[in-house]
Parts: sequence; structure tokens; C-alpha cells
Amino acid sequence: MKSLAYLLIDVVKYGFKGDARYKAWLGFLGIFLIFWAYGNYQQFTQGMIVTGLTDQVSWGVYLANFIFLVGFAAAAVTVVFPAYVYKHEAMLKVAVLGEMMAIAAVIMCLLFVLNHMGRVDRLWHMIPYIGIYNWPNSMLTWDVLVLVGYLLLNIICGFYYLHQKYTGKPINKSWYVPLVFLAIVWAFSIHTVTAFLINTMPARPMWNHGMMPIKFISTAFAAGPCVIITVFLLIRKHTKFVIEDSALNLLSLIITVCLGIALFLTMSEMVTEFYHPTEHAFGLRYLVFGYQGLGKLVPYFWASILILVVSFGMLLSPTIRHNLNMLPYICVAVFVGIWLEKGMELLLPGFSPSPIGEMTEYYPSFIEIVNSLGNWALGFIILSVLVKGAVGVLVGDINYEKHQAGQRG
Amino acid sequence: MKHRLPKSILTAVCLCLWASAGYAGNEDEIVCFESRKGSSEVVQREIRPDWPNVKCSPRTAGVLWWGDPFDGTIPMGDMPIEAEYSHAEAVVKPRDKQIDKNRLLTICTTACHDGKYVPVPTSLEARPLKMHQDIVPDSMNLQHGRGAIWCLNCHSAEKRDKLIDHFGNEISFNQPQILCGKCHGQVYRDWRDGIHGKRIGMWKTGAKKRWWTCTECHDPHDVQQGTRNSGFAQLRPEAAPAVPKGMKNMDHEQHVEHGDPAWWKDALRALFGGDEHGTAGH
Repeated sequence: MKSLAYLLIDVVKYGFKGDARYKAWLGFLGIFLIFWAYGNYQQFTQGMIVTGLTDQVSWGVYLANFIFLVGFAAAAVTVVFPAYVYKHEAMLKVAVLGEMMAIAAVIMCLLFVLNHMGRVDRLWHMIPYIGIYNWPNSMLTWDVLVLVGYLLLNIICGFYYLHQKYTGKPINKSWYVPLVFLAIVWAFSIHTVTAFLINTMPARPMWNHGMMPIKFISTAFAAGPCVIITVFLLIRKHTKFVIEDSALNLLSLIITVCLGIALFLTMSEMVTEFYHPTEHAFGLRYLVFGYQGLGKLVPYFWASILILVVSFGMLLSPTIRHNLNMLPYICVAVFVGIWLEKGMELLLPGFSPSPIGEMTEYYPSFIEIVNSLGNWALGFIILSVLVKGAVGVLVGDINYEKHQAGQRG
Repeated sequence: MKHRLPKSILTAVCLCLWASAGYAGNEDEIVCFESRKGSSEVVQREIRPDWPNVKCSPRTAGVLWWGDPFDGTIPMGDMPIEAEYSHAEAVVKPRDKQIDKNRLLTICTTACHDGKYVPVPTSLEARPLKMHQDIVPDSMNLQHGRGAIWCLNCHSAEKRDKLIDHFGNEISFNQPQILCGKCHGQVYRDWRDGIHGKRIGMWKTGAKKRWWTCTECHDPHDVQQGTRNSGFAQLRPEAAPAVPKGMKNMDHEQHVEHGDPAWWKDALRALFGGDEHGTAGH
């Protein structure tokens, strides 16, 4: 147990150390936290009134980011799955980094849920038997269960692996490998349940179709590896840790295939809804073409489609896909495109028209924006520290012996 | 003649009292109406700390919310035809309090229509009246029944604080449905079955409900409302709901073209702006 505490201390210490550029990056993220603290103070004292949400549009940037980030969390599977199921050597070495990113992503998810609950004290509803937990009927309850479960699985798997590396002991595969397989299945479950959370509502026809879970998973496995590739490239450039090209190439291939599936599903949805349009297509129509003079989302929709189609076209070429100078830019583009498509573009047309036909546009408030940016900033600080600390363990910069030696000296 | 004098003095005193009653209201009082302006009034008060009996619209003075749905109600009493309600659960607001609010019913009944000062009429036929122009401006042109009925088809000739049925039996002012049901059988059945009119309270079968009676909404002396030819005087509507946060207007709710505008027009408008409300007229 003592070695585990030392590990945590060392990871955090090492995670905050770095050159000037790394410090500048953390400082840059820290600026957002000042506004974030102010925004959260306002919201947790006054409640949801400080947001731009209305009776008609009751979900906004918080849940849009939440849904996107659940996908990012699940996308750790794109590293862990090839590593443990296909025994991909290069991936096996970096699998723990995927788990660290998943931890940061789930924490971001929970921060957004906390914001969407309005006030912290409402969390008591999450306590079984005391709060109004409504298990097993409520999909939200299932979502919280699978998310917390996924967080715990990643903490256990990730930190057990790091701890064994830290102390130089072998990994006990008899329970570690089954747990990793459970985490893989669990990753699919978190995003499936998030899709069920919104597609099980017949009153919101924009979401009420059976392809929602597979579209969630395909977009997640396209957007998530974009961050993972970018982080891996940064690690390769700035640390001694070796990440092989084969790992990056496999991830970019996963992005290509999943993005292709996602675009195919988008096309299928549009043909289905618009070939013989009914009232149920009004939400999608509002998104794609605008409706009765309201069309705030239309430019974003076409921008995201353009970004994703062009990126997909480029990724199809192995020359471009394997060009590691170009790849990060495509990754950023895909990430932005999917963030748009799966965030506000997915949520808002579910509310316009409302079940009684009201068309309402949503304008996020300043507080919502600073809270969202702050959640992302905090998440990226956690991500940076965890990933850097983990790399420190993997390259041997920090280990149990050095820690003890340091204490003696 | 001697015996007439005290009567005239009494009448004069009563009329003065009646006139002053109109000015007796406290100026801080919030008076609003439940269903018919002037004839279903309620004064706002606290029925327990920070809990008013009613909340009123500042725009129309109409009651929007009841703190106690049964405040000031009495049992509705028997109905001539059995319906799916139990006698204990149906309550109404007594009408005589509204009608008698300026002591009009009391004074007229005891001071004037005692059978001596104003003799009991012998005919039901319409005739010009010197009094009651406030209720019926032109007695030869009653705005109810289109000439087929007159005052004494509904009001008791002998007892002016009572109404009468077809056989001359007395009906309380608090049970106008029995009187109205004399002619309006169809709508009476609808009202009894809960299709017509308003009820508040508990919706559960067997639980207490307040029923609105006929005269709480309709003016029996002017059901036609002139050229409106409607059962109601026109009420000023409540303000439109607030525009959702962040939106500037609700112009998109206007039908700019017959049917849905073409999707490509919507798309062009959303992408490149332009005329907000299409080109076709209304």
C-alpha cells in the first residue's frame, strides 16, 4: 500500500514538472480555471437560471459536451482492444496511456453532469434508496452506473499496471487480463447507454431511431483516437518514450474506418428522413436546411459535413494517413467536425420542434461557456499530468527504489 | 297616506346605504374576478402566512390560481336528475353573495317588493320598467330568449330573492342550473357530465370538486352579447408567454406562406440571410 501512495505522489509530482513549453501549456489551461471558478460559484449558488436553457430547450452545451466526452472515454478501447485481443505489440506498450486518457475523459463527463444538475446538493438523488434514483427504470441511472463503473475499472487497471512497473514486479495476468476484457466490454456499454438515454424518447423523433448507438460508437472511435494520436505524437517528440509507427498507423486506420461508417450512417439517416418527409423529420430539417426563418445550426451542419467528408477523403489515401506531419492536422479537423456533429447539432434539433411544435433557438450564456471551457481545461490538465506521470513510470524516470533512495538521501 | 311615509324614509335610507356600500371598499384591496367580470369577484387575502386565496393577473384581473379551491364554497345540493357525482363531493360558490353584494337583493326584497309598496304583478307580459335599468337597459328588448320569455319566467313574482321552475316552485339563486336546465337541456347534460363549464379540486372519482354554476360565467340578462351573439362577454386575453431566453422575436411562428415553405428557400435564408419572412403575402 505504501508503494501505491508513493506512486501517486510521484506521478503527480512528475506530471507537473516539465520544460517551459509544458509549463506554459498548464498555465494556459489554468487561465480558464479562474473563469471556471467564477462560473461555477454563480451556478452552484443560483442554479440553472444562469444558463441559457429554456423550458423548450432544456439540454445545452453541458450535455452536448457530456455526450461527446463519453465517446472520448470509450475510445480508449481503440488502444486497449488491439493490445489485448489482437496482441498488438506496439499497442500493448501504450495501452496504459489510453486508460489514463479514459480516466481524464470520464472525470470531464462527471464535471459536465454536475454542471447540468444545476447545484451540487442535487447529487443526493444519486444515492440509492435515499434519493429518487429510480433504478432500473431510469436510463440516466444506468448511465451513471456504467460511467462510475468504467472510471473504477480504468483506475484499477491503469494504476495496477503502473504500480507493477513502478515497483518492478510482474503483472498477475490471472485477474488483470479478465479485468481488461471486462473494461473493453464496459467501454461499449457506456456509450451504448448514453445513446439509449436519448434515443428511447419517442416524443423526440430526431433521436428516436435504432442506429443511434452504433452511430455514437462509430463517431466516438473516430474522434477519440484523434486525441490519442495527437498525444502520442507529442510524447514521441518530447520524451524518451518510444511509440512505434505501427501503433499510430493502426489508430489512423481505425479513424478512417469509423469515420466512413459514421458518414454512411448520416447519409442513411438523411435519405430515410427526407425521401418521404413526415413531421418526424422537422428536427433534422431544422438542422440541415433551417425552418421558418430559424437556422442558427445550418452553417455548423454544413461545415461539419464538409470537414468530415474532406478529412475522410484524405485519410483514405495511405500516403496521407501515414504522413505523421500531416496527420495531427487531420486529427484536429475530425475532432472538431465530430464535436460539432455529435454535440449541439445532435442535441438541439431534438428540442426544436418540441413535442407540441414550438421552434426555439438556444443561446448558451457566458456562464455556460466558461464552465464548459473550464471543464475541458481541468480535464486536459488531469490528462496531461496523468499521461506525463505514466510516461515517467514507463521510461523509468520514477520508480519505487528511486523514491526510497530519495527519502533516505 | 300616513302609513306610506315611514316606508319612503326607510327606502331612502336604504338607498343611501346601498350607494355608500359601493365606496366602502378598501383602496389597498386587490379585487379580481374568477370567471365573469363584475359577477364573480373575489378579494385577495392570505388564508395562511404567505399563501393567498387567489393569485390574479395584473393585466386582466382574472384569477389565475387558487390557494384553496374550496374557499367559500357550500354543498351544491340536489340535482333534479341523478348524475355521476355524490352530494358530498360537489361544492359551489354561493351566488347570492355576489348578487347581494350591494345589498340590492336584500333591499329590493324587503323594502320594495313586499307586495304592498310595489304590487305583485298579475301578468308575465313584457312592460316598460322604471327601475333596474342597470341590469336590463331596455325591458322591452330583453337580451335573452329573443322575445319568448321575460323576467317573471325566471324570477318569482312574490319573492324577489327566489327563482322559479315551470310549476312556480322556488329555486335558490345558488342553484341556477336547475333554472337554466328548464330550457337548455342539452348543455345542462354536458355541464352535469363535466364536458361543459369549469371544475377545480380533486380529479379522483369520489373526491371533492368545485363546480362552476351557469351564472358564474354567463350573464342571464344578456346571454346574447349583442352582435357577438355569444354566451360570453369578450374577455381581454392574457399576455402572450414570454419569448424564450435569447430569442429576439417569435416571427417564425407566423405562416409566411401557405403550406410549408420550400426547404431550399429555408436553407438559402439560413445560410445567406436575406428577407426574414419570405416574399409571399399572408
